[in-house]
Amino acid sequence: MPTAPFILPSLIDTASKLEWIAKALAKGILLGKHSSRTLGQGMEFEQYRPYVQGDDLRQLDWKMYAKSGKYFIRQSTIEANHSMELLIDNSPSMDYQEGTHTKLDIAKIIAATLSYAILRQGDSAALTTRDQHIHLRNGMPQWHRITDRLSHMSTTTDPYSYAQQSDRMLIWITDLYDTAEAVDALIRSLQGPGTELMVVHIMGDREAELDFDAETTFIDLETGDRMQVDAPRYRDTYRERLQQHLQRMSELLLSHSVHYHRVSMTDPSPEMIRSIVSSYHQISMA
Amino acid sequence: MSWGTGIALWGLAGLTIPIIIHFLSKRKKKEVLFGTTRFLEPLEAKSTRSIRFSEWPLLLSRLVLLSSVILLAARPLTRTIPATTAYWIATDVIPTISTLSLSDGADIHYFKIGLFGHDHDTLSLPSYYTLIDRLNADRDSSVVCSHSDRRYFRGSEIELAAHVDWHIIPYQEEEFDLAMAKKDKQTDIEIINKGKALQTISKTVDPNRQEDIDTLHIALNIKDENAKKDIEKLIIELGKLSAYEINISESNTAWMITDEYTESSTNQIRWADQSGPLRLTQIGDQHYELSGEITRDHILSSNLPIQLLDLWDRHMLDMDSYDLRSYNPPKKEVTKQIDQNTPIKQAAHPLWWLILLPLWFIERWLSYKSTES
Repeated sequence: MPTAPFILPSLIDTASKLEWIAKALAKGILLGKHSSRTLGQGMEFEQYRPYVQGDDLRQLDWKMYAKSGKYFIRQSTIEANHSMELLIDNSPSMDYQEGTHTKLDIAKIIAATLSYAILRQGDSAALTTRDQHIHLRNGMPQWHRITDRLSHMSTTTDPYSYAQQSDRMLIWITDLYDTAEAVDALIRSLQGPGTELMVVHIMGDREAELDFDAETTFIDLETGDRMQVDAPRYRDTYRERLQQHLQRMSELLLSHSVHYHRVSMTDPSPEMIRSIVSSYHQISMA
Repeated sequence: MSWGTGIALWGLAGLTIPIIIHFLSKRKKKEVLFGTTRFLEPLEAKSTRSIRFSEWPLLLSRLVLLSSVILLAARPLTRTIPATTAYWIATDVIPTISTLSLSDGADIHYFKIGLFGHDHDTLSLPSYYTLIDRLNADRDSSVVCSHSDRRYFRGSEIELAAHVDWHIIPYQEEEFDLAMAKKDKQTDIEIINKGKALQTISKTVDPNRQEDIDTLHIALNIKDENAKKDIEKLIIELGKLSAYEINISESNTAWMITDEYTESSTNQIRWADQSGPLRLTQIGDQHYELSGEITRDHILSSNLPIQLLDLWDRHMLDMDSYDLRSYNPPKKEVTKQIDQNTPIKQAAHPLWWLILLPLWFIERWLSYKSTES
């Protein structure tokens, strides 16, 4: 079991360092997987079915015809490339820091690792943030493009400029602090034919428990509002309110058949990546 | 409590610095960049105050540490002799008893003031001040139990540095009717004391009783006219001390001291110091003459009340305006007298500085705790 490197913020400020981290984290999920460099469908044999008129002649198994004298179509489970689009919420609230990392740092590491894994398998990946977009492509040069863009990414208040696409897996890495209406609108705009959406929700432990001193001034990263709060005394009410918010979000996501995966703000580890990939596989196989 | 380096106590004013720092630093609140403050509510202003005092143990530890440093730097002096109260029992002070002995259980102290009766070993009454002086040599306060009032002891009132409780034990025996008589007589003495001048004193003496009164002539050869008047006062003081009535003769060189309460005609008064300047000579059946030359040094070396010596020093000659009873000697003189008997003071042991170590550790720990949270 490879152990996770202790990732410092200074280790992800350039593309090469981010790539190194992503490779280290991806080792855990690539282990034992037979990645194929060859593209194309039907490489993995599943079944034969008789040829019917209209089938692509290229799919005919001529060896089977030689043996049996009948036309068979060779079928495979992998029918198409998996296309993954990483959607990173780089709104200012993602600058919230707990420990050594901001939420954005963690989002960058997750995005770099997932795109590495998917591109290594021969699938294609795309990256969309509020202010940037990288089109869907495959091959390792695409990964270098993504990591380069990720390492220079900062937060912005711009709205998403997302063009609806189809036939892809969307992974939205966010802190879910948008309003329910905004999230609803975004999901509607994202959903198209053949798209699956998965939300990776980043939430700090201290943030969830309001683990701060009395008389702490909280500065809203989005609005800049300053608010002095007696955190220990207010903790229960805060938890209740946060829970209500998350409950509303979860209902909203459920209504749109969006998958939800929550990660904490601890040091990104292979386990964390593996759990995301595991949910990802469940969705993509379904 | 006294201090070796008292000026260091001014440093206590510096205790305000940690207090100011404490309350100023508390104004700075911690700030957290937070995702959203939507789920938060601002603190009520009322509870802000109580939170500011939440770190009072740190402030307290700093104050204690700082004041300990200052107090140790001021070098507190401790008395080597512990403050105690002495209990004394005066056997008696009435002339029928020759000596005043005071006992504290272990030692018996005798007090004599240089007036001797010839039919007793000593017929003397100590000065109240002498008594206090001796009692307070190493004590903070004293309790004296006596058959007689303390008035019999004293000349005039002085301010005492130490506290003395005086208990009068009733005397049962017959001969102590004398004591009562003495008390009645005290009023006369007070009249004398209130008198303005020496002439007044002679008036208070009944001329008709002159013959009955056993008299004692004291003749003094006085060279200095000023000194003579002081000696007159000295004699008056002596009379007060021993509750004698004094008759001043017209002669400038002789004083008559009469003891009208004593049947015996053999009473005589003379200086305790036999080698002193006065010589007693019997000039008649009941007449004695005390003669000699008294100098200032003689008075000073005698066991006389200190305020009298002061009087002597200052040559207080204006008797018309002088009231012995209300006379207060300069405090300076009194304190000087007491200072000689002040117990030796010693600075606190240097090892006391080690107390700063635990205090410092506590301060550091509390400080660490407050910064950590």
